[in-house]
Amino acid sequence: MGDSIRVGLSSYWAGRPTRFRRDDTFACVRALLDSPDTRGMGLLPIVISLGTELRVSGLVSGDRPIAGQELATLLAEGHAHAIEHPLAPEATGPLCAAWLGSAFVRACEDADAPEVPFEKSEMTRIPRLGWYLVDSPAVVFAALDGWLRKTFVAAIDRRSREIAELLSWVEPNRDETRTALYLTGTKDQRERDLKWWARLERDAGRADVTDEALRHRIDATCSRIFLEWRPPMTTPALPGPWAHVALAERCAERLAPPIDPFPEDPSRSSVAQAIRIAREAAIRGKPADRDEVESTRVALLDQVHRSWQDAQISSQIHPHALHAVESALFGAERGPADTHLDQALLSMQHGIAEIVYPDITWQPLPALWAHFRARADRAVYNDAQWLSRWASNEGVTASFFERPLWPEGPPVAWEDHVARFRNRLFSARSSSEH
Amino acid sequence: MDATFAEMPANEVRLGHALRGGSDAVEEAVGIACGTHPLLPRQPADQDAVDAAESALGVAPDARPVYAYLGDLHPALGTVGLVLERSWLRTLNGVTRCDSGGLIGRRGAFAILTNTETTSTLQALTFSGASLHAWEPAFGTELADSYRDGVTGYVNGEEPDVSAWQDARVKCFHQAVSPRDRRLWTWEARLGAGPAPDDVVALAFSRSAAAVLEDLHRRGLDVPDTVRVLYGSSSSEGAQFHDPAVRSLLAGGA
Repeated sequence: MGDSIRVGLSSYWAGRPTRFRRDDTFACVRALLDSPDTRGMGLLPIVISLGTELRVSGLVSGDRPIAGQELATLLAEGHAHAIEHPLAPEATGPLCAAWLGSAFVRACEDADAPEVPFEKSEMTRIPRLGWYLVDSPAVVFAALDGWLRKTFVAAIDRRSREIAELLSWVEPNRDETRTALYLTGTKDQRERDLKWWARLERDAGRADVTDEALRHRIDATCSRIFLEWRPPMTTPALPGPWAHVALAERCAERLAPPIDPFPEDPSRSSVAQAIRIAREAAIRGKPADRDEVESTRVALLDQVHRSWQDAQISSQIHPHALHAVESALFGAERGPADTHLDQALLSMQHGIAEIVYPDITWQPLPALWAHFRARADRAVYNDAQWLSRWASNEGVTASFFERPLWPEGPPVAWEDHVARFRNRLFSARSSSEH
Repeated sequence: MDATFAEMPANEVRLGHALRGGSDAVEEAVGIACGTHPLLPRQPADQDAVDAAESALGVAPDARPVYAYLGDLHPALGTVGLVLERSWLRTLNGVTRCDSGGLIGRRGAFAILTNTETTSTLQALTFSGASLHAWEPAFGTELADSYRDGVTGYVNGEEPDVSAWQDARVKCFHQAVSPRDRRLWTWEARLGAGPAPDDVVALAFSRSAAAVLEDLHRRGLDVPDTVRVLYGSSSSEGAQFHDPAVRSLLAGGA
């Protein structure tokens, strides 16, 4: 860039969109602005040359001229990266670059994050740094926005801090990024993050933001992103109390894996025992034996509740999953007078969220919790529809319990969440036993 | 999109200083705000021109100043910038009505000046030594007389009305075609020392730089509460280098 580069011709550039084909032989992208980082992905403004003119494109404020010396300063001081990218004759403005850093791509692969929204084969490579392509801000932003939303869901569903941090390398200031970081962080991280975000909001001159307001915004973000079909609030009318007990048993069964102390040996497991008792009562259409229920209840307290207390996971007295199992057990004993179905349903709904986010289920994040219960609610609705057709006052056919527990599949990464929860729940017990 | 703010007096316009880009600039900016990293004079990108300008202004080779711009972050499209309080002017050595290096190096619109007139022009446009005290009234007068929106117009990069000007910038201005390079009329300040932490009003980060700061913050880096942190962003309309609050602060706003 020499001194011969002249400041632009306003008449040509006055309107938007700009068509870069006055002389197709020399319309060329000369630089990527905003210092592309190998760890990031995003929308970058660019410098385009048209003959002797230089122009910055991809700014919210519209295109603007830039002097050759000014660009030289940006390049020399590391604010921009020089490239030589001829523009296609049909290219129309405004234009910008989509940036994809090499380290960012590797980090996405390592974290098993959703695929990046740009095809590397359609981009131009800058060795050791990354790839770029030139397109309109609307197109580039739409691709980034779609990826952000998809990746937000992945971070939340899998409770992956690694994925949440990737969002921060794309749009650090977005609500999705903050929400994902908040939900996947430790207690200390959450407290520090809330203070930091409140401060950034204040610094930007926006309203004074409290922790509570930020938490509301976190839930509002979940509400905006998780658009899911939820079954009607009322389940179909069930024929008789034993259909209720059967439905409660299914709730318990869904939540059994994270709290089952002996998943490999049902004969030792109080959880497996409780589920068996509830199932048999529902099939027989007769209450369970009181002594057997009592001994199972004591065993549940000993095998699961004690571990919960030792692990100090949350302020709840019991894990909700244990409540679900106990509710099915008590329904089997006290049916037909009191089937405990409502307690079992409620415990299952809370329990799923608790397995995924055991440390924050006490927080008022209704949209998030609704997201986690949605799949289970649909499974219950599915079961209830079946029971409304096939169950009777006398009991439920055994084949009901052979139906898939999760017709749409379990919650995302359910096995990982179960393993993580079990590890925490039973680690204290394992170490004391050793 | 230009910032609009209540009319501010020129004697409240703050200073802007852009740090060199890259990841290190983010830590450097925070270090300056914390007082752990001094802002030192640096080798300019256009060294020949800056050396020549300093020589013309009688700046000793071993006393290179720290440069800042009144009401502007320069370069405007840099990734990390500081907004600095006027208290930093306690170390002021000189003020020029335009970019001194660009003028003496005949860069851009200054190219029509001859080599022989650059030095005298630079000296005529500069306040230093005995005339230093006069810069502030002159700055106020120029902003009031040349910009329809006064300080707001100047900070937003509006082109000045040069009809009342009587210096060599006028012919440079008329020779260039609008939109013109704002270094023709952006006032440059040269300071004898870097700012103290109390002088730092805000740190402005582009979107990319903000991502780096967020990463450093997650690893434990703290920014003093007394300093405002402002982020750029992107949308379907493109990139916004700095939050609109940056211009408001440069204009002297709260």
